Amino acid sequence: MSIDSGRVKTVGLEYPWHRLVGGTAIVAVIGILALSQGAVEMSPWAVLEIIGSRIPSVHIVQDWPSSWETIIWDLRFPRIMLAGTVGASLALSGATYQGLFRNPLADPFLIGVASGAGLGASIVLVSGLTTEYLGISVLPIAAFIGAILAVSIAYAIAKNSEGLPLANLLLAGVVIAALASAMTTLLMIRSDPDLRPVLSWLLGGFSAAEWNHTFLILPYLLPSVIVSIVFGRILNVMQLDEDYAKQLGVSVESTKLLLITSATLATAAAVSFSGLIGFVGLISPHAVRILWGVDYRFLLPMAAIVGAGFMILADLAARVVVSPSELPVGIVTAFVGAPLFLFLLRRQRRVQM
Amino acid sequence: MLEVTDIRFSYSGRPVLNGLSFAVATGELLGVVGPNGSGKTTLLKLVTGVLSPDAGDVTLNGVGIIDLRSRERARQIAVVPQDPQLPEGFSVLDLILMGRNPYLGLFQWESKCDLQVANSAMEYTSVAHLAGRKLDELSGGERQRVVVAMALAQQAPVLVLDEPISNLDMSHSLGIMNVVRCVQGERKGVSVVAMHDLTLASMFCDRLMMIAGGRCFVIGSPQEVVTADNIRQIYGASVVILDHPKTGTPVVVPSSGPNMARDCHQC
Repeated sequence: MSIDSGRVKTVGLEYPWHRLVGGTAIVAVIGILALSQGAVEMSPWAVLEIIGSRIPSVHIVQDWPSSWETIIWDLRFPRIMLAGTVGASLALSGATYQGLFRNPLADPFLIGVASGAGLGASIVLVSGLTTEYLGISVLPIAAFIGAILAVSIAYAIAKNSEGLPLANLLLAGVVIAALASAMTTLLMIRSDPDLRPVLSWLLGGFSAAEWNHTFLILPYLLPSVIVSIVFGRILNVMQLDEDYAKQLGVSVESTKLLLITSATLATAAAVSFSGLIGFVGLISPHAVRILWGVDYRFLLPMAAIVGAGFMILADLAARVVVSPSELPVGIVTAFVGAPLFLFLLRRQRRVQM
Repeated sequence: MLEVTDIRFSYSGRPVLNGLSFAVATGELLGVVGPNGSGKTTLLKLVTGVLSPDAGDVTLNGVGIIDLRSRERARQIAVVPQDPQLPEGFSVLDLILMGRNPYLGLFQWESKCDLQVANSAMEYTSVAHLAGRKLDELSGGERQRVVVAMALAQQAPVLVLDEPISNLDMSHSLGIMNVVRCVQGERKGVSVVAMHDLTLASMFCDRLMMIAGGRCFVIGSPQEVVTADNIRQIYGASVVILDHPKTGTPVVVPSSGPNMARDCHQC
């Protein structure tokens, strides 16, 4: 422990950019590895060549079967991009909620997003609506609307004349989530005996990934990204209690509304294409906190990077472990995430002792 | 000058403050004393603008506290809350730099200048050697000095402290009170401190205000306020008042409690 007051590091004055850059580079390496693996195995070098050949004014002699290009560009790349974007969204929302609720057990599904999305998706799946609207199927739209509605209702219930007590929001969120889950279950048992589509959506996955899914999520992720850059310092101050933060000049109520809105939009967009993938939003911020400290100016962006890398790896495992069949990615995140998390927790305790 | 005029406040219908008025001049340290539940903490929350009064005004140099925007108010009034919960994982320096929040815009981070302010605040309260320590590893006395340092880093002319020494030993108590007196005297600040120890309050405060039942019972010099008669009426305790041999301020010594039977050996 440093005693020299002149050399104590603080994130505000010595921002650890190198860790963000290093983390991004590692995610890129993971991405290329994931591109090379699957039913058709390629070398990572071939993957780089295939990608490089698409860059204008770069000339690489083609020494790979042209089917590989289709596999990379139409199948694996969109899938990996979607996994990375969803992982980053969930981790960023999880970190935001953990900071906002000052509760390390908070995750992005805390105040009803997941159950709302699940209900929306089940309504579409059970009713057999498969029509497309503006080029995308109605399923993600219904899930998105369900998620936003659930959080809005919880918010409206919790809000009172003096502001938004977070304990109320938490309770309202739990109640809305329970109600939506009950309705989902009711729909499932009252409908066609084949529940696999609903179940597989609820478990989450990226097997139907397309390029435009990523592009459709990104606009909803943008507010969260801006918030993660701008509001990290305010979120630090809000780790003191609310009255204390007010006395330090933080506009607590408007900050809460902004953070809840941005995190909800990112989560809702992510789950509407990927289904309900647990654990990533809970453990990515924790991993960052345990390894590199609690300052939200660094924790938020780094959690997004870790979330992206973790999700790409989990999806890779999901599609190669039992190849040619696939595991639901939510099962992989739980199987890999739980022991990893326990390891980090133990390591942290040892450092403290 | 901080002025409180006929302030009233009730929590969901239960009146806590029933018309209380006083003023604190620049460079003055006012001690607020009174039994538990007399309304001290509520009064301080009204003075700092965390609560809005049902009636009456709190003004600083003629400007209403409630009318100030929260950032502007934080530049005018710094607060040391009663037993604050400090977040785990942050360092002492991180926390003290949070005291600079009212001066930083949304897109700004702390500068070298803020670091200097934080460092000198830490020097004042002798916590500079703890700068890199995690908040959850501090002792009670260290925590309190760190929280005071954070309030000093806020560089506000008004400093409000809610029972800053209730959980501290003798030497830390004296240390904190000395720092407050010294810093606020130097920068001609207004200080309001709620405390329980009448002897220490008499030694360090210029004036004392004794409140009970949400009203000001008596306000004046320590000699006028800390009398055996007042303490019997407000606290229901019988005490003897001595003169401090060095400062001449009142020293409170219990003579016997309200029900202190002499033959109560077995308890």
